[in-house]
Amino acid sequence: MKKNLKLKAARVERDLTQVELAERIGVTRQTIGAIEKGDYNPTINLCLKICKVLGKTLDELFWED
Amino acid sequence: MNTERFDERQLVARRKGIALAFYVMIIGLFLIATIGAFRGKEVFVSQMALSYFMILLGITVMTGYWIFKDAFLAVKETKHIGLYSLFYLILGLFMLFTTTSGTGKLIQQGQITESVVNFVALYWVSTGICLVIRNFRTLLSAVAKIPRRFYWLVLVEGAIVLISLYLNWEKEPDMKNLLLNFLLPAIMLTSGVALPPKDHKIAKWIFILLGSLWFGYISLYYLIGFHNHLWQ
Repeated sequence: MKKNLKLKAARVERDLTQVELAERIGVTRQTIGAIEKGDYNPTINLCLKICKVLGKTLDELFWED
Repeated sequence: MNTERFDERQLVARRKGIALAFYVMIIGLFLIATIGAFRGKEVFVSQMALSYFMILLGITVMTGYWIFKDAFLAVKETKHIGLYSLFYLILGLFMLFTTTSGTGKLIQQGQITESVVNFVALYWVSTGICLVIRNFRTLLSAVAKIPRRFYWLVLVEGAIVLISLYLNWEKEPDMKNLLLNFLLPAIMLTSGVALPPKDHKIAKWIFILLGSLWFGYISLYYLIGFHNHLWQ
């Protein structure tokens, strides 16, 4: 799987660390790391939670060009 | 550990860990049966010894997989990684210390005996070590946050044990017994002080109460001869 650079960029844009984002969503830091590295394919529920916290749409963060 | 507290990636990893342990146990059983058939003699002295070994093997593989996939501790528990690592290490070392006498009978007449169950101590120690290795950075920051009272308590406990050793050197026939008598209440008391009050309020106070009563009694027993028949 490809790296999710869009997610990383959106997180940095919001000035959030992986730990802070993980705490807001209720997952571990390693899960956020795994999604960003492309090692884990999140469910739609988790994608939605991430989008809500980062103020982005699903397309903006998870649509592969 | 509450399963609801694991996030979705952890739950997937945990299921894979269980499946992996299952396959390892099946392959292990097959290999042991094959070796036994070629040798013309069973590898284990009894079915019970074999069961102990297989359960230990399965649990070790499963736990190891969970730790290296960051799925052993629940989301909230990862904050207290230092405490958990310490808990497993201390408990494992305690069990190793208490079961070393049994490991001598591990192999009898070319067969592995029920003493294989003593390896459960190694499981606890290795779990602690794996947790430390996997979460080294988090652990360093966690150690920095440990309150000073924890270090003071360990220092006081250590001093009491050393003074007890000095006072009972000639009276006590078995020093291992003295150390063992101190070890469990000390672990209980220290764990109680170290536990974060927010998440484990009841456990914290039960540990502190029982630990201080027990440690206090053992201290009096060895320091002033309270109820100690050797002090006459």
